[in-house]
Amino acid sequence: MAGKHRNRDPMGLWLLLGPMAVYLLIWRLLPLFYTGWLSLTSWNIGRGAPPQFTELDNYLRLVGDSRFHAALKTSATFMIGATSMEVVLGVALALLVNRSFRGQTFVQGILIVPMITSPVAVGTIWYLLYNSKIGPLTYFVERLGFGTQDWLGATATALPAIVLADIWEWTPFVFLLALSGLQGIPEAVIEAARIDGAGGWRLFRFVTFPMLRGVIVAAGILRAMDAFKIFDTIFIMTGGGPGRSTESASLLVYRTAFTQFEFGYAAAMVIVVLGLTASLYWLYTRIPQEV
Amino acid sequence: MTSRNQTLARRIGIVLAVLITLFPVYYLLLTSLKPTDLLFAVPPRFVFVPSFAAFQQVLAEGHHRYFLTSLLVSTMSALLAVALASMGAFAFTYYRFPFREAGFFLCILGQMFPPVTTLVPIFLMVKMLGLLDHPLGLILPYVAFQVPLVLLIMRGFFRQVPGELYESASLDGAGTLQLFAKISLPLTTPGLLASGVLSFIMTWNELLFALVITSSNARTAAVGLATFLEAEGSVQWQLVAALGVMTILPVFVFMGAMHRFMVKGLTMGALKG
Repeated sequence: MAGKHRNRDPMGLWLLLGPMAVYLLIWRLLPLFYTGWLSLTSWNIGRGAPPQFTELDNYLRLVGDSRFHAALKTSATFMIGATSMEVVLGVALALLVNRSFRGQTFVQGILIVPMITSPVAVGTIWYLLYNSKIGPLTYFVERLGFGTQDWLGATATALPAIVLADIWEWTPFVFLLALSGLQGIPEAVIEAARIDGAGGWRLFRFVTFPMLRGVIVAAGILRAMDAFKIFDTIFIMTGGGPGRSTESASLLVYRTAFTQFEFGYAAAMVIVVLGLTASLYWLYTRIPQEV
Repeated sequence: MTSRNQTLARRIGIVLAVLITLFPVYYLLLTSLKPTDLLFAVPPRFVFVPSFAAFQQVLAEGHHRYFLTSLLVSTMSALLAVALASMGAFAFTYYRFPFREAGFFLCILGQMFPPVTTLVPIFLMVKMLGLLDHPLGLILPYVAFQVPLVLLIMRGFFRQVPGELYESASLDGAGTLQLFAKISLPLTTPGLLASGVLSFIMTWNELLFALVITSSNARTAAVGLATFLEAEGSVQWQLVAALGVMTILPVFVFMGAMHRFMVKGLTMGALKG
């Protein structure tokens, strides 16, 4: 056992790395490839027949599937609405909190509460808030002179209502990243700009914002990728309704696989969704990060 | 004068943000404690004598089982994920070997594919193992969901351990595993804690896989709340709210206790996620 040295102990390497590598292979990578293969088969587990290789049939079916198109559109609308607001509000909040004050750490801790709240609970909370019998929102909106609204029950308002809940839940995420970005800007840079007479909006527009751009873009893309696959809150708040007006792509995948038991077709949907989010990620890597 | 106005505006902004953040959670708590006869009062009541009937009913009807299952599943998943991934992260920082960067990338690749991409295969694998509706059927895939994140965080922490420490310990005859256990782990406790709590929270909050893999015996808190809301959502309001409060509570307790570690852990995890 003498003369232990880096690289001289291959046993140790395998002992340390092996379990994790094997585990990830079995539970992450193989299932991913399996989904890819399933997407080329026709397999309805309810009918009991084994999977049949059908080449690109599922994908061709998706091209003409208006329910799938509607679900993609719902996810995209949701993604754009939620992400844009979250980025704007999150950055604004970070600018607000960045200046040091008494109780700053405490306030930061409070402000990230929504993002650690379980999405199921977030859905429940907003389901209560929006409810016309038990929630407070109806009362206050009525007092303001608008009529009684069943926000989650009407096609026109259901999706915006869920977007609002998402903004509440995930603005803290952008806030957290923007704040760490702000704290990375050297004090001297801000000082110099101040001496040159920049303040308020001009300071933000020409000094802070350019230095924060990388972080803002990163936060936006990460939020967008996550928002596109929204499932939990929609499942809780509307179940995709009224009608199918809030049926997101993930919800449709879940239903196709586990209420219609069309595993092959659901797998093809997953691959398309994955392709779309991957292209968002590709976009992210293409944007120069100058921080 | 303008700077004083600015400070005031800033204060008001911060107070508003805190209120908007807290009000929804506060309203959930309020609803869970509201006596039935005040539930539908117009205007909504914010001051009343709290009633714990809903929480008693949760216990009487046995809903607390879901929380015990969630506790078991989340704790085990977090522990296993931290064990596997910290060993892996140590290997990736301590050793030099061919394709090290590519291998690391392959390991965190999973993080870039949302779990939904493996929903059907994992359901089939768990079914094949006969573990549907069993806590272990959830723990197995959950560990894999958390490993990439812990790996990222822990690699960052292990990189900060000075190499001289390893060298002097090696000279004293310590083997690689001893270096890992006696030098790296004690020096990176904050990282282990942060990534462990993070894994616990994410596992606790997960809905989709729990929905598919469990039905009655191994139902988690998230599934319990979701199915109860679907069935009784507009009837037993306080009970829904009480279940909601209980779903949030453990996460808040953890977060409150470990706030300092968590902000750093969340930021690192979020940036790399």
